[in-house]
Amino acid sequence: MAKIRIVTDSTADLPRELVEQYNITVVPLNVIFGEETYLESVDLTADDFYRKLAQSTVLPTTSQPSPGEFVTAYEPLVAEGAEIISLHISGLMSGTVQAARLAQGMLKYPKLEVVDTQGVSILLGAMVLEAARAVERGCTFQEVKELVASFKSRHQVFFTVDTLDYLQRGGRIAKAAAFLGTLLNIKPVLTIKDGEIYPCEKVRGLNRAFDRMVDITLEEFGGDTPLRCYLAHGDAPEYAEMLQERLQERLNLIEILKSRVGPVVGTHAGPRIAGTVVWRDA
Amino acid sequence: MKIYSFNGKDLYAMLVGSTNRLAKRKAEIDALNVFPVPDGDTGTNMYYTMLAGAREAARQLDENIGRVAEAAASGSLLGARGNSGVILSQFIAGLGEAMAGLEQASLSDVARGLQRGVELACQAIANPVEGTIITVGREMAAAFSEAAGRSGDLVRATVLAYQQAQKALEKTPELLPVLKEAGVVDAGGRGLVVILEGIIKALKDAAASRDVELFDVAAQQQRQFASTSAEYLDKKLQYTYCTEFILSGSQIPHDTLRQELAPYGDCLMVVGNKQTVKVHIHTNHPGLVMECGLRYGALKEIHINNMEEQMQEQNGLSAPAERPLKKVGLVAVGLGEGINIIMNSLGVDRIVQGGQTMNPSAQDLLAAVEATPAETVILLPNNKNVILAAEQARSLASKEVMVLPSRSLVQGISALLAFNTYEDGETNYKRMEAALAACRDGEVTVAVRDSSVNGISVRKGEYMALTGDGLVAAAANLEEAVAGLVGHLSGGKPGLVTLYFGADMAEAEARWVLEKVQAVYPRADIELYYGGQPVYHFLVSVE
Repeated sequence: MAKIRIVTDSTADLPRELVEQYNITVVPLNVIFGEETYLESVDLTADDFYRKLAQSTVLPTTSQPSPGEFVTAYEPLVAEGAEIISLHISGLMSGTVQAARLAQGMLKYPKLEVVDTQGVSILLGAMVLEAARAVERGCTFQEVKELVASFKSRHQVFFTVDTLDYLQRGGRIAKAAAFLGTLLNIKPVLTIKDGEIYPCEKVRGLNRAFDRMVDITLEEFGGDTPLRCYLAHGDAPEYAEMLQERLQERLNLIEILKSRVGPVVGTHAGPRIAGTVVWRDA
Repeated sequence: MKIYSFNGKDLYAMLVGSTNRLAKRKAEIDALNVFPVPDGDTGTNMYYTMLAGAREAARQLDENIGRVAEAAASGSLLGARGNSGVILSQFIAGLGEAMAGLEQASLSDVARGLQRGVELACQAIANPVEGTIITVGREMAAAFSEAAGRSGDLVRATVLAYQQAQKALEKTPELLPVLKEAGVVDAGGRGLVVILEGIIKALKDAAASRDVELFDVAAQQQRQFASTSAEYLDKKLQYTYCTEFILSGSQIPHDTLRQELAPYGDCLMVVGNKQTVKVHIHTNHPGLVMECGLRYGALKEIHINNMEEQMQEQNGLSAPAERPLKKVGLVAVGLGEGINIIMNSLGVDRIVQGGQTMNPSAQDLLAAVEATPAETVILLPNNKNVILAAEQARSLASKEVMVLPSRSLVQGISALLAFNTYEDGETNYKRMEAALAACRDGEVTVAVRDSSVNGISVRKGEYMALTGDGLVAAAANLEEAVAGLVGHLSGGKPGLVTLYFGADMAEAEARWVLEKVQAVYPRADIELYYGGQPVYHFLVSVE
């Protein structure tokens, strides 16, 4: 039976160890500071990026990989004759999945499946990880695809940012949602719904914002369901700790994974971002 | 003197008579407040409501009584302020219905109208309370009906109705304990009695064929809030250009200059000495104004600003016509600079100035609703005395309006926090309603007279902590009253406490109070914001 190979893009914010452990192919997006272009996670780490962001006089921008870069990434896998599942950032947030589809059209390789996961960052990362583990367990291509499709109904994702300015500037959130009432120490509880950022609630104070995230997760799953949890922050480790503490206290977590929000998502969300994906097994 | 039937002009004379009477008595009615806080506005509200009716009637003045009565009804509906104003407008609406299509009215028409008015008033308020204007109105209508059954004389029936209303008014403290505690009769009921007095006077004047003129206090007075209503965005500018210059000459005649410039606009100021005069005017013809000035000297430091443009910039609009239609808009009643800024930051499209000391009219609210570019508008009255006017605005609006029954500014802020632009009106309404239910809030102010409410005695000059249920604590100093309120609201275990300090307080003083309260509740998170509200030293919410 042919091997199944997983491809994703760098916005999945997967730690290098996991990428290597499961032999995942990661196609990088570009981060551009003025004249300098970096390949995400290849020649720009999260730490480097946030340091640059703080010091740089120009604000970074990002660009998706070209179809050619996807062709280059797929070619060795095609040569192996592998079954390929290519999982990507929401098509409503980036043209990356579009580039992957163009590459698919060029290659005309029947065993390549390009999926718009409607996720990003650790939400995409969690799906990639689950797919990779399923492959390792020996699941069929069809089973892996179904697992990815069912993730939508098995997870909760929440995050918060100190300011919505970054998300707005990049057009990643509607201007109207900017009414944050910064005067009242209000924090937004944000989620990702149908491939877009969606503001759930406005909450007074960071503590309450994290409490609400756990409240809503608890309402969905209850306190007994065994859950996996993936935490990430941009440049706000204390936020991630606050969130982890609450999640561990009130939920039945069987696994806790941690990562950093990488340069591309960091460019659009700002450094002070922290969030979590919590999901149950299928 | 006997009157058996009357026409539109007679009705107008009665409206004018009662409006004028209210104008004279409104301060006295205002003072009949059950709570010892200086928020008495019942008389003022009833006066403005009546005045709005009388003005509209004046515009539609006619022999035909149906036309005049309907004009009075629609005018007062639009102009209704406060609960008592809305109830009054319902009485007038009842008369309007009963007289619709009639050339002349007889006593039985009036009797029917009054009965209908009582019905409409009861429908307008969710839970009519006995011992209020409702009781007085009902007894008045009943007495009038009875008198009408015996004789056809309007004057006699009105006098009998007046006597019965007066009796009912005197009984209001027996029906409503809060009145008895405060030692007053019901203010709205008193207003109705005053209106009847005015009608009787008008009938007598008419018999003596004296013409009565409408005593339009409002037109003579600047609106109380004109100075603080920078946020009142709906006002159409009458004059576009703010024009300022300095005039240098030798013998500049201030008075003559003033007289010559006055017709060109408003807000005219001519100040200085005979050699140098500063001129300021809002006008549509800055050129003519300057030409006029040139006759007396040389022009210097000319500044002409287009205020319309400034106003649009303030509203964040460069081209108002191109504003997209939103799904859900927000209109809120606000009071206090800080509160308004907070409400704006929470996405409110239009803030209508008003609240405790000056209730906005249904028309003010309606204008704000209509000016909001949204398919559906959620309207937050943010004061229990504005809820009815908001309902009135809803029924008159050309778009869908949902009135969220927020009873305080702080409740309004809680509800606004629950608003989500991505959701539709109904979902948002439900979320905001839930937030209202969860909000615990109160306010602290100083007592203006000795009183005893809810079994708590308070002396003039002491600080009172009030909630929707009335007085909950009283103390000789401010920090104790605030701490008492926080304790009451939270059951002694506050989580997040938010203090909004008022216009008459310095921030340092407010911060000092915060520290004292923090000492009482060391575990609470206490946040302090500038509210800028009048009357109340602190608005307090506990979460």
